[in-house]
Amino acid sequence: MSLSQVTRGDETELFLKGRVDGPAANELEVEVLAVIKTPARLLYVNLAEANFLCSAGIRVLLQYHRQMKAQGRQLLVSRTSPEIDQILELTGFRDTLVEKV
Amino acid sequence: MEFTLPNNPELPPVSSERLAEFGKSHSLAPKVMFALDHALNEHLQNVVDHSGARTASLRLQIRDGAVYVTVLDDGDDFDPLTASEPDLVGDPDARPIGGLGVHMMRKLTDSLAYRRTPAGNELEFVKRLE
Repeated sequence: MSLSQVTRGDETELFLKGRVDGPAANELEVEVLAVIKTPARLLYVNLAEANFLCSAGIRVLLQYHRQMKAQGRQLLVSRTSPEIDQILELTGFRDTLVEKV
Repeated sequence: MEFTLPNNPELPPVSSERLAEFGKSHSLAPKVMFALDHALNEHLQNVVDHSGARTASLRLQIRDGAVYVTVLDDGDDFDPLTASEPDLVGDPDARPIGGLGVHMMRKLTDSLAYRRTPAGNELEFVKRLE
């Protein structure tokens, strides 16, 4: 997986590309925690170029989605590839995590 | 295809590479490979994290219009199929997060079968080609 970050004002977007497997989920968690320490109000995770998402990756997204929501902030998936959309749908968390356009 | 790998963090990614080689050599459809890759990764990550196994042996076969993937680990007695199904209908902001891996394995394959053998835990994944 490769990961890049763009910050615009109080919004940060993480762009994940490739395979979000166990080690990549750990890497994602480190990046999310780093953003949470900033004043960012909204954290987007862009999965448009990801082609694999393991359950550990979903757990990271859900755990920090809930944590940020409790703080009056947001973590949302901004975009998905068709593969990632399928995985989020079958786990039942698609509607929770993916931003409604 | 058959191979045995040491149980360490490289087990899931190396197995995924072997599965990709197998799929390419048999011209398996992307959706079949996508499903098997995810299901196998979930199981092997559990083997790495929880089994205490020294090795895992994988066998990949095509027969009767389906792909059969069998994983034998020599770890502690554990049947992943006894895990309860996750709550998929409760409040999405409150329901427990656990159990997603086995749920994904079930949803992405046509059948899963576990048996404890003298050599360890054996889990068979079946994915139909159509």
